Amino acid sequence: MNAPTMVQETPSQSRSTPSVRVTVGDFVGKKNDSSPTTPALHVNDFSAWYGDFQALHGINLEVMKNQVTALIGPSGCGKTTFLRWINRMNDMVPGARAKGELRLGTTDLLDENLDVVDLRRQVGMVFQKPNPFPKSIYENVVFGLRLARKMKRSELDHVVERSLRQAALWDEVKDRLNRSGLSLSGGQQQRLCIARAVACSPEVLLMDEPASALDPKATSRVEDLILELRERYTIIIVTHNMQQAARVSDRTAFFNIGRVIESGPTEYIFTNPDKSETEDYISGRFG
Amino acid sequence: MNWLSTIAPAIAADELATTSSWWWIIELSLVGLLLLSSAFVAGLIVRSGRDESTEDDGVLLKRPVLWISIAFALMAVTGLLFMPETKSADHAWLSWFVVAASVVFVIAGGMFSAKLMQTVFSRQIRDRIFHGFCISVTSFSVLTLVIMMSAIGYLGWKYLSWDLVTSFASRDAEKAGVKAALWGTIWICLLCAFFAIPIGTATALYLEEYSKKGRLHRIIDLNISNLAGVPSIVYGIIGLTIFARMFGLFGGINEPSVQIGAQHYDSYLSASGDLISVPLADRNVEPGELVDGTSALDSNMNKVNVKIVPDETESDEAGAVWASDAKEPTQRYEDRSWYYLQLPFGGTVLAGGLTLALVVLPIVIVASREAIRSVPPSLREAAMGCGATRWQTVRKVILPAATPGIMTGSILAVSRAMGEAAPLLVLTGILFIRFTPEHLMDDFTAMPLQIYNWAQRPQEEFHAVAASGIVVLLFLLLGFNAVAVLIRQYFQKPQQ
Repeated sequence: MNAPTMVQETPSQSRSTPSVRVTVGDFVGKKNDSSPTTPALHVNDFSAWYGDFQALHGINLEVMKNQVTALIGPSGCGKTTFLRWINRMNDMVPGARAKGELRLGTTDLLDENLDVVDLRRQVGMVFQKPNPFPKSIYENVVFGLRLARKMKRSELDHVVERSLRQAALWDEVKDRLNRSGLSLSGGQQQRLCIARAVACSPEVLLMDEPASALDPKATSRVEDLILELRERYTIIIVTHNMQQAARVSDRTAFFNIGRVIESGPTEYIFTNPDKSETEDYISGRFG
Repeated sequence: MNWLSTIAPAIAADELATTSSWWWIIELSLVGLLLLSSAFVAGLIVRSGRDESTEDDGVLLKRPVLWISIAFALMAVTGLLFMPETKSADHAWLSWFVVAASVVFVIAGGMFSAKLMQTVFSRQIRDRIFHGFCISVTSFSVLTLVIMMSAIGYLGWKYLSWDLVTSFASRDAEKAGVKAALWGTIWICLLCAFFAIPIGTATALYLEEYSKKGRLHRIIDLNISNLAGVPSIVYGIIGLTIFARMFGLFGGINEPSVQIGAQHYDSYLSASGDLISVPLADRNVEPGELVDGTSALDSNMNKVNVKIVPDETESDEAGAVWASDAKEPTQRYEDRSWYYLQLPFGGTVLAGGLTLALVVLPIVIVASREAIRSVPPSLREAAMGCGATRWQTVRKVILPAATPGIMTGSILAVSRAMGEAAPLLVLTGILFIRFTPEHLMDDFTAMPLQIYNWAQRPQEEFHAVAASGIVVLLFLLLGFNAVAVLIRQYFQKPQQ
């Protein structure tokens, strides 16, 4: 991973990004400490269908451990489909099937006999719209934990505090853990959902446009949060917001019509993409 | 009120034919007025929603359908005019013709009045007119209700008292009460809820959450919708066959072959003039002669040992029985405990509850499905995303969120069951009952049956008692609905 200065030195920058709205400043301040980049998720020639409709065509992608990988691309390009295959949420969709290789570490995610309930505890998910349960804040956070086994109250208390702290929500709600999760503001609700997802200590955190339903202030809180969470979790985030992808992600994959057009380090994708399609999309000429 | 029946010309043909006076002119003009006003309203409704900018003046009159309608309307009027002189039996077709013509007349008149509306009033005024129309229709239905209620209240006022609720049925209108029917209704409605709500909710959950949306799903779906439309008397027949008689598999209703919790006794006359009872193994034991030393129960249910003594012997001993009285029991009876059960059920509380459960099951299923469907899919995904199994998702997320809807729908369905007379009429018939049910196998009568019974009697007083019975039933219904509201509020609270 290169330091931000590297970006400015890229020779082709002036050629390829005349109208890029993402400025170099977006990368400044992001900690790109060179953590060991072991791949967490292997995707090899992965295709997915909904009935007769092929949503993904032979995707190849590497998602690195403890990094934020952003999936960008126009609507309907298959980003969310891909995301939902990683924790097998597509099992609920009738007619959904997939082929190819999709591995999380050594786990084959396409294995029919895979315990998806167990998988979803390892792969947490945050959705587009904040969707806390109509239960108390406390119950929301411990929901995932309680599903697996009975836990002592003290254990649960500990997890609640840890998760809410990780989600940067603890200070705001510590006095009203028994209030309904729905009493929180939109941004707080989304952070509660993040706390709910991290409470199970997953390896991977999937985020499907986690900030698209939030106002700019709440969005920036969530983005800060993502940068913090990167140290503990491998994060894959789908976003329509180019600046957001540039701000929070280490690597970016550009999807279009069911294919990965280009993937690589975010700075590279945003400043010096190989494909003109990528450049067009990032610079706002289509999509 | 004679003219009201003219609305249905099939009846009117007879009515008018026999009315030789000038009445028919008034009747006809009233019918005409009614038709015209409904035509006006129909046109108003049709036209008020339309965008007038697309309308081309004059086109309306060129439409052939309009002229056909006018022709039909003229024929309808002619038909009505000539009807008084025709015998309806010979001209049944005329009645049908008049019905058809009236409908066309309404349409044609509607088109005219709509045109009129459009040229005379502005859009805003028409909006207000429609608003007024909606209010008047609403108040009309409310008014109907008020009239009905006050009529019933007026009729039943005389017998409406606490005594009505606390006394049993009687031949004397002054003493008659609904106690047995009230408790019968409460029993069967609670049983109905007990069976219908879990089964209905489970079915709804299966259909919404588990079943694949394939052919089987569509077949079940269609059948449930169809079941909701089956007349309740059909359910009565089903209930009679399945629950009350059990296809005759277990003997007749009066000789149930399976009995649990019943003790049969033969009673003999004792020397002191009391009855002593000898417990039997089952109902089919041949009545036999009493022998010395048999253990029996006296009239106070104390254990005694039978001692046969010669006839005419004076004895204070409880177990003493004259030899001639010991030859044959005076009667055989059975003592039923609170958990008494028999197969077949017969026309009992349990059979009634189950039959009513059948009646309301489709409604409960539809209401529950609606409630389950209204749980946002995002909550389902959230639960699944946390690693919940399908059952955990249902148990922890969907059911809590859907409970208010399920309970409201179910209780409203059960309160519909409360007013059902037809299935129970088939199941039990009209019974004169002077006790409240104590176990699941007791005979019962229900409020609608009791009301029906009173209303069909020739005596005027009983009609008044029936009216007061209706008032009681209405209060019971109100109570049930109030419970529904309370439950909904209770379950909604944590979600604020």
